[in-house]
Amino acid sequence: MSSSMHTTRTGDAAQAPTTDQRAHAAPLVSATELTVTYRGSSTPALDAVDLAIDDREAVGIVGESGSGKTTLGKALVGLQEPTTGVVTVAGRRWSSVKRNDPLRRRVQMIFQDPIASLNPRKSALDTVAEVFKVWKRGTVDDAATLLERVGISRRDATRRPAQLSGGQCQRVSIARALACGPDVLVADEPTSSLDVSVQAQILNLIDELRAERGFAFVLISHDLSVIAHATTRCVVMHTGRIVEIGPTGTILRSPTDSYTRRLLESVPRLPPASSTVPRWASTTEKDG
Amino acid sequence: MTSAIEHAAMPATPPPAEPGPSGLRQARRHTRGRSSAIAGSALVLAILAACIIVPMFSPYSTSDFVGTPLEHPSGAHLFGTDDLGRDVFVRAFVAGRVDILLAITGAAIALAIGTGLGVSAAMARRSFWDSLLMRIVDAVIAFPGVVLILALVLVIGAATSYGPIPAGVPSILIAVFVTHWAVFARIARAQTLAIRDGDYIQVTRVLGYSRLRVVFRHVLPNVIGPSVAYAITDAIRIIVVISSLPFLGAGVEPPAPEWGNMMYEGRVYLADAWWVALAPGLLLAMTGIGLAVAAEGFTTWASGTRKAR
Amino acid sequence: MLKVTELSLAIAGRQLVSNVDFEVPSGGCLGIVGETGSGKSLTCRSLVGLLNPIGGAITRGSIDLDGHDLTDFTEREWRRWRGSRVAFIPQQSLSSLNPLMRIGEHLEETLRALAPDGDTRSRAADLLEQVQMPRVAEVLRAYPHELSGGMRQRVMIALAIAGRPSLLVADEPTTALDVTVQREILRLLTGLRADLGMTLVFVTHDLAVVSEVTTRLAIMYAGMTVESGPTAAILDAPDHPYTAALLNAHPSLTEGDTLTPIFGSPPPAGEWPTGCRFASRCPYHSARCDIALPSAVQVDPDRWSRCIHPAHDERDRP
Repeated sequence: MSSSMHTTRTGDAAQAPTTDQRAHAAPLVSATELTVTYRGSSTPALDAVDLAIDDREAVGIVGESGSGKTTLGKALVGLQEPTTGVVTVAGRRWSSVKRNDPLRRRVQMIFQDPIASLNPRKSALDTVAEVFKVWKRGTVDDAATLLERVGISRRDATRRPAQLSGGQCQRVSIARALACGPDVLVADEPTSSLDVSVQAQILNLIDELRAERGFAFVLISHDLSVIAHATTRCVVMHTGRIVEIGPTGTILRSPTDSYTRRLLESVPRLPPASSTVPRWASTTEKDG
Repeated sequence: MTSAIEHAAMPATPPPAEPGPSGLRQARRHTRGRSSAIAGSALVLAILAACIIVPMFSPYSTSDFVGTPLEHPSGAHLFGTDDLGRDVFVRAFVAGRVDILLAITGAAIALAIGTGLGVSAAMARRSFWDSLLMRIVDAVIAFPGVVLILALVLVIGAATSYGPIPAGVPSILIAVFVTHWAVFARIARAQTLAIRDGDYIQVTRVLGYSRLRVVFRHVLPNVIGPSVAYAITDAIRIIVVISSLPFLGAGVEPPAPEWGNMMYEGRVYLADAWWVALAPGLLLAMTGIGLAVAAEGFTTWASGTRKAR
Repeated sequence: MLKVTELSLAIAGRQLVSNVDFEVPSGGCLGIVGETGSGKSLTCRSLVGLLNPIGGAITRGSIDLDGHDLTDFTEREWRRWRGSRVAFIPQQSLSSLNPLMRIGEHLEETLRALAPDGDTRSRAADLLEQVQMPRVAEVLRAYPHELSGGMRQRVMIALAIAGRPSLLVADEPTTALDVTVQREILRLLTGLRADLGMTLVFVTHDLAVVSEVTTRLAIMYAGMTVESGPTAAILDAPDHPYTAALLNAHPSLTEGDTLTPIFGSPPPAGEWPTGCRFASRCPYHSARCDIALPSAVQVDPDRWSRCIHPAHDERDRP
């Protein structure tokens, strides 16, 4: 299947690549000429966006507020209806997929606010077990095991979100998403509300789970360094349009688009890690 | 890099510390108000229980003429007798059954149906249903409640009594429901709208949960709190309405005892035989206090647990 | 010159901050870095005397600003100082502005409080120009919700510098802003610091921001400073293991970097151990660490660290 259609853009002497130039097998999720305009607004939140997510890949969608990245994420999982254009999953349009269609399991999402993502009245175990129950894929014990895999002990699993930390709540959300057995996981700013040390825990966890289970990962973030760490392909968005798309490393090293360059220049940078900063494999776990 | 996730799990910690209580003290805060809620409910239930049980032990019935009319309270008649020589004590408690049960039932029905409608309207796919329901709600609330109840009661009629249920009760129940469901619908709708666009409800669509499951397992438990608190205060309002009806020429028909009609009949004797009206009045007031304490306790308790989110 | 020594703060009797030390010379820029629960916001409030509204109090230590001990200040003295000698930019700009008042009214109200006479209207416009606000006349007439986050933050800065303070304390001023806007605001603050000769204290959780903007650094963890000194020196060769752990956990713009997380979480206030508070998560942890809170060890003439196993000590490496 050849790559998707072009978006035409005016101006720019050096045309940054805005479409997928790769040849790929049928993508799992793809957006075609996707436009979303919210009611009451004159400017579109998304303007003729084309994007395909392939099997097992890690894509980053980076942009500032108003770039449309969250809207794009929601459209990819079927939460946002296109105004024009279409989003397809395994060849079917989202609008034709019913609520309880098994296809829904294949694309899951985690959100920015860890505590608001969970039902305040359900314990972590209940939340994850519900997925297994609804889809008849396992028992409560399977839910407990999955929670342990993401770092929630059996004791913590009985707690409600208000009694868990932000990082723990995010782990529960991840477990809930994974309980569906998805092929694509979309994460909308999953670590923005977390401390940097907890962010590292969550990002590493997702890396491991990807290696184990092989799902595609779409990471939406305003933080270029997080995108740099976790993704191999990067989509830069600005005011509802894709302004640049390509391998993450290439974009970071030699961005073509002027906005991308401005974005990169604005990111505050730590001095490169000098050898005098001690590094260790992992901090030890002493139950204090 | 070794997966340190395999190490012993992270120590359980309370949410990140802003200045505020942690751990055990947080648990205490969440139950503040619970004791009031329990105390108030206990009082009301105790009165109801008394209303059911006490008359069973009384040698008198509510309709026998057992003594001289308007006798002072004495050993034989703890609340004296009324103008027809009936024992006020037993009548007051039997009356309580009608008032309290009517209030609880009326509030419960209004709560159930009003909340159901309110949640459905807020969750409806097409906003047309929401607008429709809200206009109906506005109309019902705008209409003077007492007038509507009176009209309904008089129209539906107080024809017969059904077994132990005194005459007039079904029409009162219907009238109460018709006038009271609307506020519950509004409360439930507002609460539902507040959480409908939140992440944990939105995600249920991604997870493939049916709408029914979402409404009953995810929406209702999180919105019912304020509605229940309001229902408890509504019970007070309903008792007041029911007991005021006799003064307007409607309500539970005598000779069936009801706090309102007992007070109505006893009002002319207030100067000399004050016990005739006071006994039902006192029981009514105590019930009202119990309900009010329970309502406030419940509201505090529910908002405490909500704040923790 | 601002010098804080052994500062301890409590709210309603609960100790939330203890053993905080740092200093910054006049005109310099200090970054206070910490994660959630480190006590950094509380500390910066104590620098401007805003502990009372939240029921807080200074239980120990001193805050010395140009020879004045701020810990002794009465509410009256604070009222005289706040705005004119010491100014504060709170974290949330939207909730810090009265939604019913236009921007011009905000500015004029502050200016009038500082100097009752004078043409407040033109001075308000001047202030907005000083913070490089575009379309000054429009902004003066606008309401807070009509401005973008970046513009609102400029308004907060304008209100803060209205009295030409010598010390400006900013609590996470750019955390909620887009990265391009953040760059502009940081540039603005640095420029103002130079123009007005202010000392700037900057609270943030972002190490990258402090590395670019600040000259001195104080790292806070679980209510205390674990390391303080010149920014470049600390980030280049951190002494305290927590600082090193933060650097290791921080993703850089290099593709495919490894991130080393720090497991567990900081002990909440009230559950502080008697020894070092980082001990349970520290790779250098030894029995000696649990005995007592390490005192500040002087690593360099103007650099301090609270660790008995300095990170650069080869013998103690895990």
